[in-house]
Amino acid sequence: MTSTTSNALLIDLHVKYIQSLDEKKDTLEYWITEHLRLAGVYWGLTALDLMNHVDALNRDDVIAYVKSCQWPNGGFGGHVNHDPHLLYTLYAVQILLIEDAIDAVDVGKIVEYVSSLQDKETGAFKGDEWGEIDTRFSYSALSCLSLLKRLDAIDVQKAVEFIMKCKNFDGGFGSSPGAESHAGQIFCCVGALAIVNSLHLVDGDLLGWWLCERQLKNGGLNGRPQKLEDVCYSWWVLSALSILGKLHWINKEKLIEFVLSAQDTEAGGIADRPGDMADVFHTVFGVAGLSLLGYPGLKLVDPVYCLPKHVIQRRGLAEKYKV
Amino acid sequence: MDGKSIYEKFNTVLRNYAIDEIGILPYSLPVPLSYDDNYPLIVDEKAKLGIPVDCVNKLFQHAHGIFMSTRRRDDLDENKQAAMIDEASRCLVLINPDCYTAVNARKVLVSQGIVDPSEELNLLALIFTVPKHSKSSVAWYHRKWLLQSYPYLMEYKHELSLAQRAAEIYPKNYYAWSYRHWVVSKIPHVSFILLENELQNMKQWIRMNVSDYSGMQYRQRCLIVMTQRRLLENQESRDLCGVSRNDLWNRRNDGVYLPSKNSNEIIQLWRNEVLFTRDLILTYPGHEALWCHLRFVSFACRWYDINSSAYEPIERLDNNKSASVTGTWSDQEGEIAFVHHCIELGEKKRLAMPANTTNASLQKKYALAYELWISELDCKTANEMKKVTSCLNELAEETNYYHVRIDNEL
Repeated sequence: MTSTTSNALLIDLHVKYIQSLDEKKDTLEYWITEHLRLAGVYWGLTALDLMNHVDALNRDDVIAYVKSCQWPNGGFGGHVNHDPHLLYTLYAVQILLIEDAIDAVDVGKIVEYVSSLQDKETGAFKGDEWGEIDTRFSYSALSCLSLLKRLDAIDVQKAVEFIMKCKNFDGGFGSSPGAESHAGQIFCCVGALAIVNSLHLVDGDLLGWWLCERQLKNGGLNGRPQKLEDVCYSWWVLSALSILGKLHWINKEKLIEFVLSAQDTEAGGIADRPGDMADVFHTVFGVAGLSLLGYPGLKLVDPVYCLPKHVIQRRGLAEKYKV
Repeated sequence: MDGKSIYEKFNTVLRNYAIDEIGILPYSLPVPLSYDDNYPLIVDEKAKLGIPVDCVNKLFQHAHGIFMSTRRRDDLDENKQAAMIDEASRCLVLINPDCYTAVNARKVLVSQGIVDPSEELNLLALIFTVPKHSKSSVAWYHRKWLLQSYPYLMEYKHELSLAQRAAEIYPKNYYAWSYRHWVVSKIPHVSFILLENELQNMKQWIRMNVSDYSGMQYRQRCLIVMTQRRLLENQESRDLCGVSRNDLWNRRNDGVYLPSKNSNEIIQLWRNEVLFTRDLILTYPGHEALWCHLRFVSFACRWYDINSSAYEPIERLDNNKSASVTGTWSDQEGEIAFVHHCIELGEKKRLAMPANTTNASLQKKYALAYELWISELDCKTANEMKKVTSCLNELAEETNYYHVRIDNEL
């Protein structure tokens, strides 16, 4: 946390910050976030790759760690000894693809796990065996299986039907049918629809407008009406706009300025907004947002998969959005 | 004090007192002030548990160690093992309900009959007394899972007020409101009065929270459920899930209208909502949330075919079913007139108090955006909307949106 601001992205500092995350084992923060450490590795590694420093984390260690989180049923937990869950299964696949090491794990088992979580009746996806339903999980499943080129393992049409039930009058999407539109859920739904070539179902002009209304005077974006701006919406709002081909609808310069102002100029990392504590979650979404905005010196990010574009290209997946 | 001792104190306190509130304290007492069994924990009024912040880390790490190691052991007596997992996971979820593995372990204990499901509901209520925890999606799903698995435990009033409290200690609490939607959707038809109370209650709540759109969105769900119940049907199209502008346009020429003998009550319900929302907008200028709510109400009125004859006697309504809904609405109901009224009031205030014009400018921006929004809904031409768009382009300099619109229309 620091009062000085910078008008440039402090790449070296952010790299060091991400590298240091695993050294803070005495802090409460480290323990409270233990159950989502695998997500933390995905966020850190994606940010590093976008900043051209993917090697800042040891590749062998990363792969071994991911493997240690897999369960016999194919799913991954958020850390060693944590239960398997769809969210962490996607993160594991994303990390392994960045490291170009998907063969290090049993892909067939992953496909089995993910497809077992689809509700046959509604097409929705459960997060795990306990049955929570959320459009985040629909995205996780479709993204994961698409990355593994195994969308044939689920009922795609049903999955789309469920997502479309979560559309609201304002063109946005919520976590479940009738739930309030939320930029995070909108990214999930629009991304999922893009993956299965169903963007024509989105009310793009209406949704694009709603997304633009998320931009505030200070340039930052919020995720719902009359909420505070937050760097992570530089990703959720922006990626959805990008997928809809409407990135130019927002004020890019002001948003870049806002993201840069949320950097910790001493210890590295990006916070939710200026003056707050930095964390790896806001760091990756700040960096990914800047990448979408064409900030110089960063690799391009894919707005649908939230992975560096070269990873998607290497995988031979077609671009799933309008340019 | 080491983690093990704090952990033991913690479990003893939870065993000996009926704790109904828990909090992390930013300070700790260096030594107990007098003889105090609970030190370093603090129990106030025999019901409020305070954990000094420097104990939290030790406590959590110790519980974590016990939880993870006990789960893996196969050399323990089953009951002993279950009791240890119960204590350790309870400690973990009280400090961090997002620790889903611990919450899952508790689902197993409940399923096995080791933990009483109603006690588990109490534990969740305790967790929700911590503001940060009251927005934990994992904790809310745990509650939903319990009530789905043991439906006889559902007490609607209790669940609704629990969700309300959570939404108050953590404003715009997405998961608390989503949970409340779910509870309302489960209210049986015979308990209609509960739904009516809920609508009344939310009216008051919104008056006190005019910037909380999540609360308004919840009220929207209540209005929809009410409309459906009045229609005595469960048609999907009536629940508005999955419905947006394109669907309204696609349906426009179908000539669908309210088929129920309760139409008049439904019309009254929505008409009152228009008046309620406009009243708040005039009382509290410059709140985006209220204008978003008005957009919804305008949309719903069109979707439910509540036309301008709502102002007229029922006989007239019945004879007039084929009247175009949207054609007459904007003129006679005065949606656009309302917009202009708001802007004029703002101008007057601006002249009266030139030093404080923020609310007036915001009100104008939101009013014009609303005008544009319903104009598009009613398929006005770009030319008809040109003036509003260019006005918005000047007012909303934070976005490129209106600029792009103008460019595209040139």
